[in-house]
Amino acid sequence: MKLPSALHRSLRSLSGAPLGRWRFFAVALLTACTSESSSGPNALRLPLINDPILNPVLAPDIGSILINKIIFSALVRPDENLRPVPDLALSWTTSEDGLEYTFNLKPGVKWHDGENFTANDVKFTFDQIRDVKSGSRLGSDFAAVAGVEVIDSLTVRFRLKAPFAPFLALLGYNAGIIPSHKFRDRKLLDATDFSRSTPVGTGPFRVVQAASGSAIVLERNPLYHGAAPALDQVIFRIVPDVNAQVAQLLAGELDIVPIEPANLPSVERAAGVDVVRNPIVQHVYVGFNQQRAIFKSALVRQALDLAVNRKAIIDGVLKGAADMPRGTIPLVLSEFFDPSLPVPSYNPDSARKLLVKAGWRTGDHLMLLDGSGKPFAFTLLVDKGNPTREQAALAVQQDLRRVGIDASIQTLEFATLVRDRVLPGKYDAVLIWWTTPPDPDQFSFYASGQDNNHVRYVNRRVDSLLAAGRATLDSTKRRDIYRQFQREELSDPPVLVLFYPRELLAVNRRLRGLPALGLRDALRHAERLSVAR
Amino acid sequence: MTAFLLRRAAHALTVVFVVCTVTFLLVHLAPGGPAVLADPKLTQEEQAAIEERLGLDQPIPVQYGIWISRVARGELGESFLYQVPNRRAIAERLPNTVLLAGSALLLSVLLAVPLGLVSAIHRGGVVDRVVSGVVFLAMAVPTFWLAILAIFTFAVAFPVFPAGGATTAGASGSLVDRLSHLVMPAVVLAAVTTAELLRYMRSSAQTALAQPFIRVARAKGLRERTVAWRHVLRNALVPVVTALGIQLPRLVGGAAITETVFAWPGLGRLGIQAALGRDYPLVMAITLFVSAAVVVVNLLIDVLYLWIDPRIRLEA
Amino acid sequence: MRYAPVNHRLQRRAFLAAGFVALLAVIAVVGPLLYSTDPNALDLARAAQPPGEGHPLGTDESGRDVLGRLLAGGRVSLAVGFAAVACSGLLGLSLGALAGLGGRRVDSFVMRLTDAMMSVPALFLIITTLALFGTTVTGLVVAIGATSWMGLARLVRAELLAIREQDYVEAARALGTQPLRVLTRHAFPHLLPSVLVNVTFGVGTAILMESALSFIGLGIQPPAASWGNMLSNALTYLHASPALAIYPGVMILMTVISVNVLGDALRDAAEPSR
Repeated sequence: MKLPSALHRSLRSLSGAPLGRWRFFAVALLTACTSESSSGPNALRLPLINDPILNPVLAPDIGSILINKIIFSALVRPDENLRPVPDLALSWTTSEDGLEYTFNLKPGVKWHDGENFTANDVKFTFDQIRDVKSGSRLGSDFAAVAGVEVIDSLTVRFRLKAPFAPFLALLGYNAGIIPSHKFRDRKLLDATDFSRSTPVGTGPFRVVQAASGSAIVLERNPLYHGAAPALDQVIFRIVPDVNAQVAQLLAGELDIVPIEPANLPSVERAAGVDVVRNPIVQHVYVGFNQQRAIFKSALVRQALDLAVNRKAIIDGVLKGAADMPRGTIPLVLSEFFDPSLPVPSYNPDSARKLLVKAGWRTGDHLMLLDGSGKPFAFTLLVDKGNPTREQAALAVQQDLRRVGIDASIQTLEFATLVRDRVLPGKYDAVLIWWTTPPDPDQFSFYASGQDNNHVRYVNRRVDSLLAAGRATLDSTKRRDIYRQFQREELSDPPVLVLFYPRELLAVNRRLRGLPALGLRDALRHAERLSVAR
Repeated sequence: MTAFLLRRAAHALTVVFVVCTVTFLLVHLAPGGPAVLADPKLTQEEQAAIEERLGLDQPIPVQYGIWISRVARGELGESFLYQVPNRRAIAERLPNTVLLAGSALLLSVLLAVPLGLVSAIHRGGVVDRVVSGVVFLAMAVPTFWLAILAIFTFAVAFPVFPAGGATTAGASGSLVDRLSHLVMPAVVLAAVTTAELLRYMRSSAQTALAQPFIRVARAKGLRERTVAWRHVLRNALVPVVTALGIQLPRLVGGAAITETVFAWPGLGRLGIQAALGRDYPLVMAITLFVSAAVVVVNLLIDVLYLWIDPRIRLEA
Repeated sequence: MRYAPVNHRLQRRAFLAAGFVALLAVIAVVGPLLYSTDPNALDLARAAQPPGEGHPLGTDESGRDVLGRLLAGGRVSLAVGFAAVACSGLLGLSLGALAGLGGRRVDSFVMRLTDAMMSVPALFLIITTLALFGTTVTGLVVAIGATSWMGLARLVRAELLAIREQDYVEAARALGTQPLRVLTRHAFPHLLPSVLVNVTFGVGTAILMESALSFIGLGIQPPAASWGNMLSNALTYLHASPALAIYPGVMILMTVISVNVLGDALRDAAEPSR
């Protein structure tokens, strides 16, 4: 006779009575499952979409990179202005010619397993990073390093092939230090137990449990070399579907969820959830393959720049979670970004005039034709599955049609898009993005002939500016160089920058101490995070 | 009997070989290449090193030879994405899928057999009408939609069950905890299977009811209930068991969706993620494994037939 | 042959279902003539609007007209459903015929292929194919068709093997009739009902398959609408605008229920003893 009364109670609560009773009933029924947030260890719970590789040298995807930032400290880390500050390195000196960096390491640092951290570990890590056969994913970041030398157990010296200003920023980016004593007789790739379940780092949290497809549980590292971590646990739950992640956040089972602008309406209404919009070092752009005749002329690229209504895309597609762009160096790099640059204007009429000047004429239905009567038409590639970028591509398509350009959209799986089309240069235009370390160096993207210059942009002045920018250590001089670069971009745009996105994080209100940085950089300060009871 | 089993086993091996070959071709003829190589920042040199390490620099026929000889030795290769042997990747996820699919199947059988029988006996009655309505509904609902609705209803609006996962991460993982995580995904997954089984059960029970020996049993004055449970059920179950065998791959397919929404650490989800991440060896390993499992289960069902109904021709 | 008494309730249900499917087909064909709002036109300034002037069912998250998308999506979903079934029907018939009429070796080969295809979850195979080769409408239809012909092939084969033993076929063969003629003359009329039943259920399965694939991101690709991708997109806004999930969800439900009811009625007509 218990069931009917329980049923009765639940029906009453459904029909308007306070929910407390229903909750009580549920909790009484299943004591263990819903009490997670109210008792037990002080834990922060984040989602990953897949099992991570717990080794910063091998980590191939963003999820692995995120969790590794908590487990593995690096020599330096970015502060809230994205400037490198000491982490495992106590201090460093740079030689006159900018070719030698000598780091004094923090004494008394212990690995999670109790071993001492020394300069040998640093040398080992960078030897692995620079060895293409090791499976390293960080090789291109440190191509400038000629060698690493152990001076004594707490001093290590890097020799560079040429002066390289982004070096410190890169050290604090993805280059977590790994323990040489765990790889004495085996290769990184063979140490499956290490990269799957039992990694050893020097970070504020250490892995205690890793269940494939379920969760990685980290607990406070009692031997941590910095300020004592405030949390007891950090738990990464593997939740592949983003809607399920949001549901778990709303159900109080996750504390930080990176969301898409499309998720905002659901999340903003929820009680107990805040949305954080932090700028990140990224520019999203439409790249035009400048080996194609139609995009060779700078005039045409200026016209395209004027033809797209960025404001509408930022407000409509990104729900305001992006900043108006001015060139390829994002706003968040405040030291280098030039705020005096004009905000790009949306002016289809001027765009048409420029296009006419570039030799295009108006044909039927106001579509543009070249001298031989061929229409201005091309295919715009966009990666499949991300609604924000797909919608942005649609908006660009509509805007271009207004000035007489016929862009057709093709969505492709990211792997196919990159490997078969963008890298070999078999495309007209692509909507894509660069996420970079906190440094303005864009030599490999926009200097002619570089590996990552997939738009095949050629501008000799930009070449010399970008080469000078990465070789200049003096910060005032460096800033001037990048400001010149940004001015040069106005007259000869390498790409059509659409926006600088802000990272949207839906965050449980109980969370304290999250630095105003993108999650990538914020997690380098995991010891500061705490959860209010 | 032995000859029959041997022939069936030979068939099973052929089937697995066909699956092996088809998946290999499918995967290796695809454009784009594995996702581990789709990093715009990789240099030529790094690309080449990765391709060499993964064996992708070999000609396709050589790769096929390596794959087949590995499979013959019981090895399934190593995952690109997870950097572990595929055997381990599968072994870690398998128990969860067996638990989920097994619970769903059990639930389906427990619901479908009695309800199907009652529907068949009282054809057109209240139970039959209600059940058939629900069956039509369950067969027409997209699984992912049902799953998300369930989460928003029973985890967000009325927090009775957890929204996802197989246990509470970081907690001890008691039995109650595990069960409460199992309820929603198992029920959602069981919905379609139950509906399908119910249809089979109802129609095969009807066929059985129309048979002469039932009329004889009734004429002998046996109670209606005895007739139903003893005679009809036994005869109706044969086609239902076949249906179970056919349902198995669909169950695993459905589990892939359910596991994705409920963040259940199972094999189906691993398969989807392997395909999306273009993890060639893992895709091939999972497909092969699932197909081999299905073939084995169907072999067992054949043996079961012999036991249920010895009249079944051995040479079939 | 014994005919069961006409089941009026079933008949009424079947008529309703047939009517609904016919209505959908008519709307799919003439809909764009009556309602010409562009289903793919973005209007970012007027996103997620409730029903109102110009937009009888409101707009979606990108300011696209929901009614327009529902009509266009229905056309796509139905087309995918029927095309996939046509594809699987063709495969099932021809492979079944090949097995039933060809020699022992051919039969054995086709049956092993059938077993192999039945042993792998269709969803898996389709996802792998589409994830690797990329999604196009044709690819989607072929993938669904190529993974759902096995039941029909077995049915056709079994039927052919049974027919082969029958007197009138023996007689036909003795008179020197070609096997293909045997197939068209004698087997097809016999097979038609079961093929029809099989195919009818296939439409519903294909529509559901497309929606599941949309959830994984491999269904009909935006900007084109399908009920499946509308529904899966709407899950993101479930909290804020549940109506976006209800429209395509209900359409899928009603369509699949209708074709299944129809399939049931056809089966009852074809096999009256059940």
